[in-house]
Amino acid sequence: MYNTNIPIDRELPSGKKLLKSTILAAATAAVLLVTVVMPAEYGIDPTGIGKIIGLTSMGKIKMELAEESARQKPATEVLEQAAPSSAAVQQRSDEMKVTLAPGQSTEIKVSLQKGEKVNYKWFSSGGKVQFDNHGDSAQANVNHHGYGKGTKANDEGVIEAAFNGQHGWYWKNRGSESLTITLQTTGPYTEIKHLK
Amino acid sequence: MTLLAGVLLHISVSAYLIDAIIGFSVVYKALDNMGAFQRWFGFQPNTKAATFIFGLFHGLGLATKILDYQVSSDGLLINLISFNVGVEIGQILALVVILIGINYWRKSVGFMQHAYSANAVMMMLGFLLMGYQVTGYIVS
Repeated sequence: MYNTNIPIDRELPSGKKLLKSTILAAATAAVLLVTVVMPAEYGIDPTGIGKIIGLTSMGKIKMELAEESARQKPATEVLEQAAPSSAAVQQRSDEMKVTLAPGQSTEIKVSLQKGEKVNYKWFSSGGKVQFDNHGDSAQANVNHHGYGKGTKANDEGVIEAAFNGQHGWYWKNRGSESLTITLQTTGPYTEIKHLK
Repeated sequence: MTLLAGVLLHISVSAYLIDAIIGFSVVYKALDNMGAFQRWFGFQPNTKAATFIFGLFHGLGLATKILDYQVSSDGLLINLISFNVGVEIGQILALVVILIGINYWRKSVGFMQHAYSANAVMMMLGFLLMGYQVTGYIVS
């Protein structure tokens, strides 16, 4: 355009016009950034507009997925270490099924002493569910100790108890249809409980 | 060049920062097209030099992305060179089509006004990309 051939001065747009265009471009970009990009990409919604047009939940899901994939690497390391050391203790295995209506959530927990490990595997009959693996203990005065969360249709791994207490799985059905979750567990736990 | 060096020497700069610079290069190019540097500073920066310098950042950006994939080191150099050649071929193919379109546009009445507006929109998108990436850099 103006940079290909050397133009005569009067052919150039005026400095004022250029400045106006630049400011207009920057201002439009700033408005779009705050109202659309930040909610849709990072779940940050300073104006509340993102929530109204439904982009904030999209951004939140993206952030959850990013966290989840960032956690994948350390999780596999734990899994490899877990296998040899847990063989000596008395093991038991269980399979439990829970049905969740849309919007419903539930928890299954096993009681473990500090350092004990439970191997688990679960799958959902109806696609992805939100999950949160965590432990709590009245004895150790812990309300919520996270072992990882995310949104998946199935998962497997090992939970190593960080303290004496209840450790397990929370699921929430964010979809519009009922689904059933099947959980298989193996470990030295004494009790497995389905909490409503 | 920076793509090869970046991958082989494992130089990984934050992808967010590189992408923010790429956003800045879009803003720069839009202002350049609009004649802003001639109007404001009275001179035309060398377009080839600018393309080259920003091209180095683009290469570094691609290198960072390739490193993220944790590519195998087996035959890495050949793979990277092939990748580079592939990128160039893709760019030439795209530019052929774009250039034909732009030449028709250039002949149309009111091209200068349309082009000015188009560059203003492009500048806006450049600013938006910068904001998007800088936010990402802060958040992560």
